[in-house]
Amino acid sequence: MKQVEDSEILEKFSNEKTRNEAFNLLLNKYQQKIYWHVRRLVIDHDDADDVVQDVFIKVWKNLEKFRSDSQLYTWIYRIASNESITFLNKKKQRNNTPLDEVSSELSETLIASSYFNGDKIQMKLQQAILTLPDKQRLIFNMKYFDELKYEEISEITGTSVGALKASFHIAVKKVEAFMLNDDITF
Amino acid sequence: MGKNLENEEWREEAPTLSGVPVRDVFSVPKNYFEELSASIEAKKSVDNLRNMAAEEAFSVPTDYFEKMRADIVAKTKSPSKVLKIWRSNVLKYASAACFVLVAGLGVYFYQEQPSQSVNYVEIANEQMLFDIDEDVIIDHIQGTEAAITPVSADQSDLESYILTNFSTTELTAEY
Repeated sequence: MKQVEDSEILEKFSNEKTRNEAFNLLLNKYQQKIYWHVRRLVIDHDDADDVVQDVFIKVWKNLEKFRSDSQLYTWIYRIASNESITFLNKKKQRNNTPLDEVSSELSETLIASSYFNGDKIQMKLQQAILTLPDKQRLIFNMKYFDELKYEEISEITGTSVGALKASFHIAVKKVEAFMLNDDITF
Repeated sequence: MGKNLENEEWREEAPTLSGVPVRDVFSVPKNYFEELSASIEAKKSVDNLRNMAAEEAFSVPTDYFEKMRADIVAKTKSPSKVLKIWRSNVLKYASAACFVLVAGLGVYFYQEQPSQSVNYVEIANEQMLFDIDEDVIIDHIQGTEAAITPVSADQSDLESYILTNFSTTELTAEY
């Protein structure tokens, strides 16, 4: 199936009559990408489902104000990233979780998840990623899994390319060290 | 090409990580993505409905919220508490009756008080006489009698006084 261009979606959305059609095209094009992006951050499927729905409601409400000075997918990624980080912060506050226990809480969610297909090494990689701070985890995921360019990540996060490179470099070192630690097994 | 090179840089720094195949390890319930669009559409409709209801269904008078805010602020400043003593007629008349009763008793006892004070004086005098030795009193009376000048009176005056003040029975009675 041919992917519809962002420009076509935006053009249809600007017309009152074809607005709903445009939104359906946008959903078809981005819902899976955004879901996986959110899921890697919040880990739990039900949480990811809630966040994704909120993301697309926000997109629907604000797409009219979208200016074409940035790409549509980086704009949607930004909304998804912000919603995910906000969700995690709210969850921490709601559960009164100390900062050093956040990763272990997400780690327990990962182990208990019935929607995980990975083997032991994949589980260890996910546990390693969960040791990173939320923003660093966001950058690592976008680079490692989505293979986005630094410029694109910079547009999404509002962080300079230099800072992103440094952050990703540190994240890779931390994950590598975790993977080499034989004491941690699953 | 540039994108690929950029994403290969880190592999030299992390050979272990590099050896792990990059793939999504999470899964979703069956038909999740088919239903996700419908869920988002439903949520969008509810959101639209909520906005419509909030914006169009009801209206308020001009400056209503400013007035409401002022009213609420005014109500939060509680006035000094006024205690009504006579909230009912029964209590009012009962209070008046009590007042009259107390006043009446006051007047009554005020009038009674002088006679009582006289009585107190008489009792005190009697007590004083009781305490004085009898011989001293006799000596005092005899000394006083001697000092008293005898009153002169005619025989006829005495007779008329006796006849006026005493009855025949009293006069003939034997003592």
